[in-house]
Amino acid sequence: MSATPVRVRSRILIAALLPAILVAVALAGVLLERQYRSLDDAMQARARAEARQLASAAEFGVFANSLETLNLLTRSVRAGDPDIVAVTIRDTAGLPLAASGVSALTMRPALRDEESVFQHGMLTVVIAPIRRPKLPVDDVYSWESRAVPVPDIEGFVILEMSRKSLETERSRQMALGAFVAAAGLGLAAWLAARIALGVMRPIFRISDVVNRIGRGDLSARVESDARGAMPGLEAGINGMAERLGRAQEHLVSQIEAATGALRQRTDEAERANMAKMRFLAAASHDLRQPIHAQGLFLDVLSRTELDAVQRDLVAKMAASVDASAEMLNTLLDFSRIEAGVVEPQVRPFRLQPLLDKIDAEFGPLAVAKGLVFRTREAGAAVQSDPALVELVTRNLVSNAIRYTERGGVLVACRRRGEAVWLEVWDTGIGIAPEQQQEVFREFHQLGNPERDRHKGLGLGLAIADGLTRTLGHRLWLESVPGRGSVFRLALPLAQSTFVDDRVEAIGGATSSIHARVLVIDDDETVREGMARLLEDWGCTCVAVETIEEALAAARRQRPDVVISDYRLREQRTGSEAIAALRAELGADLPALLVTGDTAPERLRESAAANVPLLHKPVSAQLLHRHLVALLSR
Amino acid sequence: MVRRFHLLRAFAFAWLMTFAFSCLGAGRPVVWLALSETGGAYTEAAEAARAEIVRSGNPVDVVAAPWRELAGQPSPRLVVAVGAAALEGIRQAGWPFPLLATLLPRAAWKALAPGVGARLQSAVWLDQPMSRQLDLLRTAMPSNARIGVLLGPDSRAIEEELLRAAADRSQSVLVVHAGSITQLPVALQRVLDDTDVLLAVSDAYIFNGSTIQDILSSTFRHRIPLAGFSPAYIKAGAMLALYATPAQIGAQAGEVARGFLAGRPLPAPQGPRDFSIGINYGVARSLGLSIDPDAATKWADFLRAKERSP
Repeated sequence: MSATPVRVRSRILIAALLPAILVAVALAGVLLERQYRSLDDAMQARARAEARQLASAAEFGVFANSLETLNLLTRSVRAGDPDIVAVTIRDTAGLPLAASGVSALTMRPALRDEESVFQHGMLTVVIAPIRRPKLPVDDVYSWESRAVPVPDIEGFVILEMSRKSLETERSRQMALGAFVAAAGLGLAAWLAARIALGVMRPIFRISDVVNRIGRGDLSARVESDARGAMPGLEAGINGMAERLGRAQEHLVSQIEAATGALRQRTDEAERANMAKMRFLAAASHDLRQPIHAQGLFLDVLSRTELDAVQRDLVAKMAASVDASAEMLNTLLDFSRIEAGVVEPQVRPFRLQPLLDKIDAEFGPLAVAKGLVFRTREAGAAVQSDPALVELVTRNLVSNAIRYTERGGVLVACRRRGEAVWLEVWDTGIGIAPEQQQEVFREFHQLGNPERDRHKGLGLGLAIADGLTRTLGHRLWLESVPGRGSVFRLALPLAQSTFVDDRVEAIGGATSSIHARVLVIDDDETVREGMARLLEDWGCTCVAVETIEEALAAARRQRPDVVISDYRLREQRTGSEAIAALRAELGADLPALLVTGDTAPERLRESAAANVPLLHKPVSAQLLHRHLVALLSR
Repeated sequence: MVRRFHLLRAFAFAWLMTFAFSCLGAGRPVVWLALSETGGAYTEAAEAARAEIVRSGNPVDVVAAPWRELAGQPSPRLVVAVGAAALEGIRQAGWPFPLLATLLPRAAWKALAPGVGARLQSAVWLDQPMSRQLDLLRTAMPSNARIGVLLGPDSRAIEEELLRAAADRSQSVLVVHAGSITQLPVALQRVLDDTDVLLAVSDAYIFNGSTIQDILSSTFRHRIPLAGFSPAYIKAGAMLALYATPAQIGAQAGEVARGFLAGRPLPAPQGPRDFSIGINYGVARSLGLSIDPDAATKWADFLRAKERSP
């Protein structure tokens, strides 16, 4: 704000003063020039007059060759005018006849018949011819026309007049002119500054108010000045500010209302989501406990002596438990993706082992449903997380088998430039174009309005889509209703030549484990199931309910590994129990958390404590594999 | 002024031509008055000559005109050249007529007179005789006044006449020669240093419009009066002048012409019989000389009386 008025004032001053300066300078220049010229003219006229007068007076002296007279004349002329530096009288041949003063001429001037004036340095030089006076005498009496013409000119007067006084006068005039011009300009500047201030003050005031309004201060108003130069503008600005203020208040109230409504909706949605999540977590947790125990017991039961009928019943029971467990795992996967805790472990790997595994797992299922199931050989290696890619593929294949009644399912890999497309083809019911985006939404199922649980939960494609996005890959589908569908997953081609072909073994026979295992669980059924299973595997198992009991048991005999439920009595957790045991027995004590709680926090917590977390229901194979892994460290 | 002069000249010419043609008659002798130019002294002299020629009913046709315009006129018995320029022109034209020249200085006549047929040509010049000049100076100046004379190339011839006249009158005359204008200042200085009056004679080399101012200045500085030979000298600053007026010289020429027409031969070239005296009283007063207001008349009468007496 401070820079603007100064700049504006400077501009006004320049605008006001520049013409004045130019006019003053031009006028002063012209007047001085004229004054100087007139002074110069006057000096020249004086010099000419002096020279002419001397030429006239000297005529007789020259005629009579009276040098004394001529000297007298030159002296008197010089004495009469202090500016005259030198006077010389020369004859027609240019020889000096008389002189007074010291000539400052550095050249020999041209002597002509006409009077001439010129400047020579600081001198004004006049050369005046000395002419014979001509008197008319009658030709009749003297026959003068016959006579030899008498030369008209007898000699020359050369008068040198100093210009010093003229220059002094000129300097004086210039100084005076400069003083007058400076005084005039000073006055003009003062006046212009005053006028500029008078004009600019209201503008600055208005500009200030406009700036404040611009910064959002709509209460700013131009204070009206009685002498105000622009009352209309001031009133206009004030009116505008008022209208802006009102408009802003109106806008703010509208925005607040809209925001409130939006917030309410968001809160409602969040609440609904939270409720859903809580329901899911609670439902899965509560379901897991019995299913987990069920699984454990069934596994133990299957190892006992059974007749054929019993064994068939146990197998059917195990299948039901597996289905329940699968549905629960699906929910768990989805909640993990939703929580954003899935961290892809990207590395190069070959697709063929994965296809083999899928073939082994889903081939019998498809054949059982009367479908043709094929996987096409693939030599390509890709850069991704093999476990997550497997999960995606399993979901896609499972989905394809589920929705295909006739024909078959084909899993193929194709190279496309720098990518490999993993494609799952089916000859199922197909998906209408308008449904093709919807199928990736959670709990969306085609052709299952009755929610037949044999058709899953409708989360498979949502999980596949979420995982693909987590991996940064692309998943899309092409489909013709009634003809079938193809789901394509684009995987980046591996750049590295080193490929890890390890594929985690899933399932398989259980081997004997000879270890001391400390089981902490507040559920007695689970404690018993776990104890039976572990002992069946060859372990020595101590199952306790609380942390204190666990510590006491550990003090009695140090366990090789600890398996703790997450949620314990009195709001205590498995993490605390493991921490307490490790504090007692050493931080390297192998431990495993088992929880029915699918909340994402559990995953983060266990990851932070470096304790593997298994979600109930834990299959006997999974538990066995983790125990083996922990003990072999 | 120039316009007025031209008007006057044109008027005079018209009058002369009218007069001339009205007088033309069969068998009457014709006289051409050949003027150097019309107007001024020439017309005045021609007028006086014409009056003298036709005096007492003399049956003569007088044609007066500038000499260039006379060719083609009836052949004259006599041509009167009025002015040196007319004489010079006629001589170059080679007119075969008897010739009388007038209104010209003696030097002009001497220089321009045709050498052949001397019997049929004569002149009446303007130069006053030296004797008359000396008589006037003796009358006007103190008796013992020394007279200085500057002679140039044109006036050298009168030195003898001058010295003889001075000797006759026992007058002191100092003659100084100046061969050219450059010698004038020194010669003038010599004359003025040793004389009481300077007598100017007709010599265009010495006395002319360009020199007269300096000469007059010199005489004033020496407080010496100048005696001139024309009315213009009086105007320029000479104290006195002895001269024949154009009318006087014209009348004398007319008289000679009338005699010739009457059968007498042309006389030898002669000077003016009559004269006038001019006085510049202002100059006289400046020089401290006291001159009577009617001195000019008195002196003229005196001189005429002296010349008439044996």
